[in-house]
Amino acid sequence: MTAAKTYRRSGNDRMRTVRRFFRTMFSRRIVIFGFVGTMFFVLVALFAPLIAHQDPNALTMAGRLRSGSAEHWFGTDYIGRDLFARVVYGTRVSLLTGVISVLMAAFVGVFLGMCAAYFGGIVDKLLLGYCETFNSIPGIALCLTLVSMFGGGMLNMALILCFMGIPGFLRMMRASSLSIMNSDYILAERLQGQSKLKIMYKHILPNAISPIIVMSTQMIGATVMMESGLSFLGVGISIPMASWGSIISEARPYLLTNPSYVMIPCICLALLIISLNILGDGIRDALDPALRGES
Amino acid sequence: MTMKANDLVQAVDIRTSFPFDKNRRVQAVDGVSLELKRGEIVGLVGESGSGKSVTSMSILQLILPPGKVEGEVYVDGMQGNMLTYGPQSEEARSVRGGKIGMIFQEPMTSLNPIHKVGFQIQENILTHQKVSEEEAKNLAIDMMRKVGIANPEMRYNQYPAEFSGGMRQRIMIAMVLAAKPDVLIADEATTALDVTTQAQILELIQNLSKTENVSVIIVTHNLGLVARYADRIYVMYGGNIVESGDKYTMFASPQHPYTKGLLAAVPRLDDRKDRRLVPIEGLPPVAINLPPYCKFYERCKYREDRCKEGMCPLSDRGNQHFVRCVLSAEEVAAKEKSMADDAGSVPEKHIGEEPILKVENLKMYFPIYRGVMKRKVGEVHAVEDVSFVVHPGETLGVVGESGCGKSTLAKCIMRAITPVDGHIYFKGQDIARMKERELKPLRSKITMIFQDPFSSLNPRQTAESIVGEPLQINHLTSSRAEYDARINELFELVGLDPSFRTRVPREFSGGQRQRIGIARALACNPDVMICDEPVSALDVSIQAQIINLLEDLQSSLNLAYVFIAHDLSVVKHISDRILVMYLGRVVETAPAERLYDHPLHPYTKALLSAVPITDPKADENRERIKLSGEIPSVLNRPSGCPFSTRCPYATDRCRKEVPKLQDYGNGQQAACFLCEKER
Repeated sequence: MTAAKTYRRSGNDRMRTVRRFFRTMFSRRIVIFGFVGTMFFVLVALFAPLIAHQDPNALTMAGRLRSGSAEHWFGTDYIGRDLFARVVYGTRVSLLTGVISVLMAAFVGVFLGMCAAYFGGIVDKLLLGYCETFNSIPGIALCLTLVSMFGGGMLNMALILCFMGIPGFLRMMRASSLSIMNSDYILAERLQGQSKLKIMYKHILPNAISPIIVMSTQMIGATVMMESGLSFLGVGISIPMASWGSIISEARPYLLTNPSYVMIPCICLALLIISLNILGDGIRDALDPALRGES
Repeated sequence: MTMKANDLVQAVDIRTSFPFDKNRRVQAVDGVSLELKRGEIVGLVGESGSGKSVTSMSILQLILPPGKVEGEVYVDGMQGNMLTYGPQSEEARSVRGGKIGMIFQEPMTSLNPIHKVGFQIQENILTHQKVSEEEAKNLAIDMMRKVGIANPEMRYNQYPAEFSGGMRQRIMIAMVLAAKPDVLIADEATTALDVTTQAQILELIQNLSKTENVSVIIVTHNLGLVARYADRIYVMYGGNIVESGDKYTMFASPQHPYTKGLLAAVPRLDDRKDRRLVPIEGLPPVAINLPPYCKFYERCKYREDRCKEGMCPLSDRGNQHFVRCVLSAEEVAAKEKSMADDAGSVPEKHIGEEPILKVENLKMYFPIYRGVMKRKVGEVHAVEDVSFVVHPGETLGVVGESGCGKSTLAKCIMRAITPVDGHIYFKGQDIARMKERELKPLRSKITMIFQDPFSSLNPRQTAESIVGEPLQINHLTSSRAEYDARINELFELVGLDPSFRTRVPREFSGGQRQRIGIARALACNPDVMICDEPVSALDVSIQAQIINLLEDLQSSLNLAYVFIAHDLSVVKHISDRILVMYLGRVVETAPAERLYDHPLHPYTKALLSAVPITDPKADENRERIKLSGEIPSVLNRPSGCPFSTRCPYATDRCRKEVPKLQDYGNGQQAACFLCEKER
């Protein structure tokens, strides 16, 4: 994880680096909460069929808008489906569209941002042009257009949201790389005759990445909300399927009569975002050499 | 406690501390007492971490909680101990800026960029004097004239961005003096400026202190400056005053081991050629783990067990000379004698005949683009027609003030940029326009040491991989064992413990980082090393260690150095020959000794006289050439001789023609029409 891997580094050294990484990461107790929270939602998403015994899309006998009971833990929704099952299965969709699309966007954005910064000139101009084009069109309108062009569904949603997220990451990475590239150690590498590719991944990338980590955790929340917005407009994921966003928008009319209906997916969403934020902070600290190896 | 008759400010036993962690506090200033008489200039000298800035801030009550100041501060005209009033009190605010004004180091950030400079001066007058706005404006313009700003009526309405660094510092002085203070504190006020500008500003402060009857506290790390401009000196170390006294007595017979050490560690312009600097062992003090006894104990050459018995008081050695040392002057002198003079002289050099690096008519221009269409409107002539040779084992010093093109020159030789015209021969091969691929094998033979030991090392790499990287790039080692051995060898060569290999740069001190930088540059057995201000970011005691290391490496590895610096005394100390640059041109080149004894070009003379010697007596006897004005911007260079706008002897011919370098014998060349006439 940390930089400065040489091809001759022995296994022992690497083990120590890994251990130091985790020690620094968890040196603030709260990071453990973030880690546990994130892992919890990941596990729920992975093992959804084992956790929820009922079919999230099947109507139940209990009737609609019931509050929690032994049979239906979170009660039932507005047409009488089991809410617990819907929230558990919804975790999958939200994590996939939110986390996966942001991770993809971050990956591509970081790569392109670094290219823009390092090569400059025409590459830089083209990539910035792409960013500016995207930023000048309202996000939701662009999403609607893309969804109606390529159709809805989870995979398309994730790809479109990823596409929407790239410009932000690209700009952030470009700016942070540019400041790193002005430092003397990059000049020193160039003067040693180090290859461009190696300078990029070995020296610029690890030093410029920390704002991206923080940004990613914040983008996940925004993306989940974007997805729910699209689902609300009926162009997101296809209908019977559940996502946190779609549950929230379905529950909206019953906010006053049945508050737990809307609260439950909201709390899940909030917990996931908080956990991710804290985890992101922890990872950033562990990557920062100024904080590493204090103990 | 009452103040002495003619004291302006008296600080008694100031202790300033900051919280470090839950239970401990850092004692940044540990019992400092000082006094300032009317019309006096006092120097407060010390390395980083000595507490000199915190002391001056404590007197002004600029320390914010959780920092805590204890002690007593008496100011003439104010009732009682100032510290009892609290930092935000009416009394404290009338002292700050009113009675005592302060100038800070960074002229670029200490003025508010969105207000006109005149307004900022006027505002300060209105806060501290009861005058109308119109009067305040007139006073402000008067003040600007006093600090040497030409055409103050016009410049009154300009913004800080339209002023150069030196000019802004003048504005700061005007602003502070406009409130008619009794005391002026200059906290490293000239450190960020060029030497000739620095001399101008300090001379201005010195004159103003006489004409306006203002006392001055100069806070600085530069011993030479206080030797020239101060009357009385306080030397600080680890939050204590270790020695104080009149400058003549103190520089004539320094008594505290630290003061002695500092003076031996600093290169002087009038040094003999082979003098070796004596660095102070160890590292500058870290405030958190200072001992309760003498702070200098760990690094002291003369330490004894009785030093650890407790903090010793400042003892009067006669003539108002106070020293905080258990040992008497005789004891120190006896010990000094018994310890053989281990400094010796610099190791012998073997300068080769055949030049290893030859630069011919090098030119580097940068285009300037303006307007919507980004049309090229002109060129910055950063390096103009520079030629020189460097022999193996020789050090060529390059000096000049900011904007003279010395760093651009280094980048051209390193081929970080491609020069516009000219040739750079390395071992006979012209590398000036070589392609990156052809250049790669040569890259390891010309290496570079950078100025900033903090930004020149990747913070995420271990020391081992920083030093080993050139070996890997050039595939110089074939096995792990060989690689390890070479890294250990390099670490030992630069005086680092090989067991520090796996540490990251943050875990090293500034001097150690610079050693890592040197080890990296040495990794591939280079022939030429370009040192771009390698010691200017370091403390003086550490500076000496690095300079000695560079000298040792040169003699054992037969390296050629191109040593770039703005500090003339350092350059003169280490170099065999010196190249003086001004606005991209070489104005004079000569062997180091010759340049000091017999400078030809007026700029060289001015540069030499702007650098003070750490001996006030010797310094006063030197010929002084004062320059007016500042270095013109490279964008509008004078049409004739680049120096003609500031030269006191400039003639019409100088303003029209560019003088060429002429040989004057003894390896000395100068580009000046005046010297031609004298011949």
